Amino acid sequence: MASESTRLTFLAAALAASIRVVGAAPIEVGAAPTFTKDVAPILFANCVRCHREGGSASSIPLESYEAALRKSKELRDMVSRREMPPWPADSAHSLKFSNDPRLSQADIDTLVAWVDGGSPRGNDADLVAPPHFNGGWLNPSGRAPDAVVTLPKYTVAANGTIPYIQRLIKVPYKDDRWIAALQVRAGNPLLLHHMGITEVELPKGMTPETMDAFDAVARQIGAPSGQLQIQTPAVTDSADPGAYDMLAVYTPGTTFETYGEGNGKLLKGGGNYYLNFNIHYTTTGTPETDLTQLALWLQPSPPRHVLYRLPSAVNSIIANGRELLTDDPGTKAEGTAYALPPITVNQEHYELIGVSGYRRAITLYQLQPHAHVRATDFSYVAVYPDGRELPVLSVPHYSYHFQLAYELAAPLHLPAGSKMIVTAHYDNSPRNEHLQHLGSNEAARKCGPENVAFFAAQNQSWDEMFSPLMQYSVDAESQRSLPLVSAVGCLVKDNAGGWILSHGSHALATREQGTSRAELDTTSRRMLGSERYQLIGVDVFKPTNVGNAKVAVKGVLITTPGGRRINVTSLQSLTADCPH
Amino acid sequence: MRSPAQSRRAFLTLVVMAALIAASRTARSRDSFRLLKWPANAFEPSFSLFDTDHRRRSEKDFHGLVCVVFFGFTQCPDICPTEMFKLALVVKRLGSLASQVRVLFISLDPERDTAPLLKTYVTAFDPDFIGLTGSAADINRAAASFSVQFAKVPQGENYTIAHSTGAYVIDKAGRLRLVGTAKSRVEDWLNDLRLLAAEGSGAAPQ
Repeated sequence: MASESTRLTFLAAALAASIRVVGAAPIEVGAAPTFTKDVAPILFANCVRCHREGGSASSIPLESYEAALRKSKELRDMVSRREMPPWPADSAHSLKFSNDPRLSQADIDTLVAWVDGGSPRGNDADLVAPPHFNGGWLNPSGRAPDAVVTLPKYTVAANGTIPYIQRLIKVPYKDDRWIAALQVRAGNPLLLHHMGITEVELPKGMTPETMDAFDAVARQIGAPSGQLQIQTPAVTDSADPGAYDMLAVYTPGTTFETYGEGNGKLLKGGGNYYLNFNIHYTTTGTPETDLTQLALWLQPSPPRHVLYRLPSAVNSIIANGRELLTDDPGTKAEGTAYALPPITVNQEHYELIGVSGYRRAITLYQLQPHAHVRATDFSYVAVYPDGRELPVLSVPHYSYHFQLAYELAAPLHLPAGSKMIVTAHYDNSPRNEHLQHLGSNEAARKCGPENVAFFAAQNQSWDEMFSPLMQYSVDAESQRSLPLVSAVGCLVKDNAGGWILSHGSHALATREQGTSRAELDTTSRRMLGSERYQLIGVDVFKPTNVGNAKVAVKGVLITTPGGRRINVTSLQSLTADCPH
Repeated sequence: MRSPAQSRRAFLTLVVMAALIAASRTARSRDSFRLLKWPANAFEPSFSLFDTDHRRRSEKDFHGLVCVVFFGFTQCPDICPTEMFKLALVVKRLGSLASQVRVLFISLDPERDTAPLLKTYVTAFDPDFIGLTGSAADINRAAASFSVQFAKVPQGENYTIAHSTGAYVIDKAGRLRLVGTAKSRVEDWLNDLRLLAAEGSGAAPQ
């Protein structure tokens, strides 16, 4: 039985809570919020997608009064600190996203007041119906998936290196299909670190069984799974054949995605097509089992916009202030054409800046930064052909545990000649809080700052990645493709503080946005000329370090009545001075 | 109860059976490879590099010979000298068959492994070992074609190179057939190189 002093404390808390929530419409002054009337609608709308039986946070269910009561203190603390629902993006430096789950201050005040007010149940008649997830799937329409692909059950050992696992599942359709929405459901979110799903075509007569033999050898020689195989991506961007679509990506925190009216993804049918599930499991210290599924919702006709998903801003990469060369020694890091230098023991500040220019107009729908535990922040900035810069997404506190796919509330149109710059930082020192709470299993030990972190061809959780994924479509109305060029000249500052390539050579067409050592040898012999180009989006290349030098520049050439601009994708110093 | 004659026949039968089983086991172990088998139908590796006498060499130059290809660097403190020493021992024990085998050491460190340094290094293990090097791009291509992973790791002002440690065996017909690892024993290498040396240049992989 509660003592008098407890009752007084309760009343004081309830009063304080009621004062705090003045202005939040549904609650009367002086009345403590109840679960059935005030709290359940907030939890049902914002939390139970994950916090329910079968959800990704099933260990902390919030579907019933009894369950919420058990976790009420944690609920209060997490929401009042805005740690839940998770949203690592900084809204002040990002565009708006349709899947922003943050609670309003009024909702937070209601939840806090409910807990501080003793977490009363309320009248059952007030309780609204909880959301219905058809078959456990998160499509808000309740529509059941048109196809569900279930992977074979897989048991992961307690410890050890778990090589990437490849599962090839035959595409069952005889003709092409269009996907309107999809969801990857991790059977065991503790085990499934991440998974990329790409549709591939195997050579005629090849089957997954013949591929398995290749992987058995690859595992034993330490080569990535799939490295010895011959398979080609099925869906490529016709404007950029080197760019292929990743049908789906699962990372901790990702969930159901839908593409909106007029948009969809292509699933090729009829050939020797397979869905390639490239799965990365991690160990937990005890043997565990996973049974992961992919659900597809189809649409009957081709969409106006075909969406592609691939790592963006990796055409050029600047590592710790040095623009990498495409033929720097080393194995190419996963998803890039560069050997990214490893992060050394206890290295506190490690920076990667990725750049990609767009020759054709594109529309962006989704951004999904992906790295492992050492990553601390990510930012995406678009640079328009006129030089304007637009912060698209800033994730100042990147979390390995909540790697969200950020869905733009309004798709972002980038005209031909634009570019995307993505900056990521990593911290391999004990200062990195993510390295402080990793546990004691083998995977955790290998993540410690006493280890070198590699960007390998395929990465374990203790390796690192730079994978700034982006989902986009090539604008159908954009027939114009701007040239990708290279030129040499003198780098000088103009009166307005911008950068100019003066005494420039003719702009020659080039195929790669980045530069190789071999190319530099040739370029250094090119003669200066009389051309003048305005250089835009050039600050990431640190032009002040090489000002007045003879430089080699690459980028997308934009010709306007006012002159010619290059949206720069590569800037390499050739000689310290520029005699002309 | 058996007669003495029956017992003798039974004993002889057992001896003959045991001999047959032993013989078949010996034949099996002699005929089968012990290193990792490279899968048939996988892509074929290739390289175009320079030897320490500045001659451009590719895998085609070694057709008709059994080639063992190892990727490393001369400042490698542990696995490279260990594996090279093991291969030198294998070649020595091959005796006259050694003339049908070539060991190639591909440097992953073109910046520091000059041709003279590389020559000194490889010939210290065996005078017939061949060192190969080239531009960073050529070495990247060669390594990728063998699925070799490597990375330059800064160490203060200096650096080291982390790399895969397989030794790749190409048969006389130019097909990648086997991969040796740090766990492979000298006896395994001897067994497999003798088998490959006995094959013709056009023999089909087993």
